[in-house]
Amino acid sequence: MWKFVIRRIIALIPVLLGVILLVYLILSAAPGDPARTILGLEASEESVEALRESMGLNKPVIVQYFDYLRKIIQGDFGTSWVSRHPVKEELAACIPFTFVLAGVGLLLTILFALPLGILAGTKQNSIFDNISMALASLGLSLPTFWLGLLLILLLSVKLGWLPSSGTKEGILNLIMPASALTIQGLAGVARTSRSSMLEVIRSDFIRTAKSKGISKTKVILRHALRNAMIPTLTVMGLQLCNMISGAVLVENIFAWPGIGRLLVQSIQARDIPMVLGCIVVFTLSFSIINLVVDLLYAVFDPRIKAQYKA
Amino acid sequence: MKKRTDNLLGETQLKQIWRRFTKRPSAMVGLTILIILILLAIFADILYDYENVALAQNIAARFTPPSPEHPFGTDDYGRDILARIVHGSRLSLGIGFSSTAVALIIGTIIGSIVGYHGGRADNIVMRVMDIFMAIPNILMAMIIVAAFGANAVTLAIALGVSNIPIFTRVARGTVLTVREQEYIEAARAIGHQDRAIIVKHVLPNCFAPILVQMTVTLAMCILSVSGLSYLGMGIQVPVPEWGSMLSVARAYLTNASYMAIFPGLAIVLTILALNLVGDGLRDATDPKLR
Repeated sequence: MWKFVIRRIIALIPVLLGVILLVYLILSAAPGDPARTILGLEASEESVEALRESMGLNKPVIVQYFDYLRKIIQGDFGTSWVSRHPVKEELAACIPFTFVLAGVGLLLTILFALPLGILAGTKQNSIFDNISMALASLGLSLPTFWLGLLLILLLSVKLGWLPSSGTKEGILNLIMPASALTIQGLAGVARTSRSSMLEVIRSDFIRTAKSKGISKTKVILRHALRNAMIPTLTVMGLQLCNMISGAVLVENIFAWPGIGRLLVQSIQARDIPMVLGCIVVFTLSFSIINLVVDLLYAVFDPRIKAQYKA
Repeated sequence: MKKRTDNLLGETQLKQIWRRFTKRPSAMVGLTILIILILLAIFADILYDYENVALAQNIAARFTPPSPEHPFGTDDYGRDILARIVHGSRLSLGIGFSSTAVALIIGTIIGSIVGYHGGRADNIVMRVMDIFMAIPNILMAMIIVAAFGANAVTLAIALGVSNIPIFTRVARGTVLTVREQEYIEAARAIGHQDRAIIVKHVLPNCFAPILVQMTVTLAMCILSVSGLSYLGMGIQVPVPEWGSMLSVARAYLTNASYMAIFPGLAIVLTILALNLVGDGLRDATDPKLR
């Protein structure tokens, strides 16, 4: 098991280096002079030149890239070009907000989507199945940012129940962004768990279990669900990644000070060290999610567990 | 020659998929909505004049709630929202289709070539694709737009480029299973060129999974266009675009909530239609259900 984890972490390194290189190349291909942007149009040519020198902008892009990599390995993400704060500190301040948002989203998905999918799958073509799957189709088609606007319109503007943005009121501030972020994932997971339930329920071992006289709930929870979990887990991992990248939109709507909002602000300000820092965090969290999903496969499927041990 | 691609019923693969597709009412509903939306986008100019109705300001008519004259009301500059939504469909669908086309063509070509030949090239290309896939599409598009400017063309290219890897994967995956089939070996044995084999025998078999992926990507691109425009990183005001219309509406939620409702409904309708068509296609092309 540990061998597998270590192999995966090693495989992640080239991807991460590639991601940084890619983003670095695209952003440095952008027209405009970052030093000039930071100092403003009034600054003298000498001071701009001096800043360019101190930021290392006069070196070729590839040299800048390797300088950046060397620093990252030492744990130094550089300094923001805008706020002049260390990128690491700003990232550390924002990460918990995004993770809370995505964590609540995941929790809601497990609490609602799984039971919904299982019930719909076991009662195929019933009214419950038809209604919940129609709702899931609709949920998959709702853009998160529009859902966010509608929630603000209804719960803040019309009813005045919830604060429309910020973080001052704690959990009250969390409700709307978390629900806006969750709907698509919830719908996706409900649909997948239903269809994988349907597939499993038709298999021979379920018929055998039923004919042995095991109660229906036990058959579903112990025999069917466990086998239906593999595709469901895959989609759940995907949806969690979607939630984290969806945070880019949702955090901006609700002025939620997470990493998505930081990324958008840094992209708009051309704050390259900050953008790279955010991208590294995003890429790392997706890789960790994928790894956890792969490890969870082993929990539900002993065959996969055996593979990992090899 | 034609007989060979036909199945026992004498149907081509395409006809078979279409026959199964038409059996699903929800898929047909989706297709109908999609066709109507495409027609609206094509004939937008006939319905509403772009310069005089969708763009020209009419301060006297600001914030008119929905009425027979303006079914969806007017916005903060007195422009008819319905007219702007109709013209906005041109951008959403136009950018959506062109970026999907870019991704589909490039991705499928790369995927089928490396999948067919395998070896080191395959390995290198797929590792590069892994890097692209590690960054979510919308973030990738955001970075490209930030570097090269926010307009329809960069947006289409950005979304196109960021969706290439998924098509490469789908095409490669299918090619890998097709490659070992006997009829490919037969084609090789009678001396066909690799390129001819890929175009004539391999690609037709990738058709179904790529078609399904196309609807998914199209929906995602349309969502990304409006999402990016909502953030101010896509189509800029005053050009009518669904996402940027919603971003303006945010400021007037208290007095003119209809401004926030109709452009969003347009997005939902488009995405729903695409998802229904996609689901229909998935079922129609799934060999397990045959």
